[in-house]
Amino acid sequence: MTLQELMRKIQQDPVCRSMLPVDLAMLYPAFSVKRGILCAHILCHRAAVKPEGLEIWSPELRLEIACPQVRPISVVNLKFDGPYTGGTKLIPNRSPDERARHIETVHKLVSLGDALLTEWEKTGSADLSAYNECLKSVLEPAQWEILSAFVESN
Amino acid sequence: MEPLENMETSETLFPPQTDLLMDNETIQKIKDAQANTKDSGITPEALEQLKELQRDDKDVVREFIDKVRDGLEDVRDGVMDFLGIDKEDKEETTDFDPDAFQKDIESGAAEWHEQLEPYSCAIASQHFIISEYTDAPVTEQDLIQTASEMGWYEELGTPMADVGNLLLAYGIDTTTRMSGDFDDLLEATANGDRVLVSVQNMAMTTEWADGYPAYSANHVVEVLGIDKSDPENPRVIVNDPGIPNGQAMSMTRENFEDAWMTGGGYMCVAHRPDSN
Repeated sequence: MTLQELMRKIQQDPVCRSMLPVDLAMLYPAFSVKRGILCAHILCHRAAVKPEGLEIWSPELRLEIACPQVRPISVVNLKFDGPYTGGTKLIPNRSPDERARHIETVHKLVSLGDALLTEWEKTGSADLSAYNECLKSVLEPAQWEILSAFVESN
Repeated sequence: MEPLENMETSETLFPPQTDLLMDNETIQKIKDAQANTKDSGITPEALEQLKELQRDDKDVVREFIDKVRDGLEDVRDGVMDFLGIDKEDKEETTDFDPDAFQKDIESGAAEWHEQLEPYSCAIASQHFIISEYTDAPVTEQDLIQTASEMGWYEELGTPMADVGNLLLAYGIDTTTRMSGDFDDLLEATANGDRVLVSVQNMAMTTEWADGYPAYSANHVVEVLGIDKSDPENPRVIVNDPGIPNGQAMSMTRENFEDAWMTGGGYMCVAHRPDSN
């Protein structure tokens, strides 16, 4: 299973479909191992493309999914249980060079995620640190702050 | 190819003790379809896939059915025989009439408006279809009210599972696929049906799709049709309620699929009341 296949399967899971509003975008997950189970921690937020850049909202939901089976563990509404800050942030349009760098980093993240999932399926274990470090570098600091609690507690 | 009945029995494929989600009627339809078709059948690979299915997952079963349908054209023809659909009618739909297409698009485009609330894209998209298909004097605000009362619209928007419920409530039959592909879309629109699809709004514009670390659908739009004026470069025409210039917006196939596949190819076909 690839990382993007995992993301697609989550959207097709009956439990997730009944809980997840279609209006929220899922960020790529952070991974942790909990009681021997590979867990994906995913933030969901609203995003709108504006002429001046990408407007993103504070994450509204956090999903925890057992992988690679795609079994939902929890869906948390961060307004009720989490560091919900509200408000929006505009990420200004990037220069061509900046955009190319971001695209390259996201592609690297996807490759690391593919390798991690493949390794886990083969051996039941995998080194998560390279992937999670790469994820940290592409997320907004406030987004990573929410996920880091789950990654670092394992 | 080996006929289905010689390879496995329905009891073998679907042990009685499991929670049966592909019922015997469906199995019988596949068998009948095969019986109506010469030199065709379900491949051993497809059977292997079937055996591996987790039968407690309705959506996975649906996905499998889609794969069988898509991969075996002969079986599809057999199903059409079984259902009494004339194959010549289907072939006729592949002829593209630019004038009729334009008229059809204008009819759908006339219903477009921007969504009223930040999270009401699915309701606005269903409103386009309800307004076009029925005489119901209903506004998007009315639909938001109805969906809220029914639990189909909450603080953060419409749960994925509830997209299409308003159509059903207004008497419009729908067919939902979790993993549709471009051929499914061609077929649905060739029949004159409108289609709701979940897409990623960032990928719709291409500017942010590959450089922002998100990968999922986060928006619903209505597909009005597929412009095949240039058969090598078909364009998808969508009513997008989320942006000011979203009326009958024309996109390349590649651009559309990039946005659509982030959600796995979800599609909800709204059948015209008079199309059956």
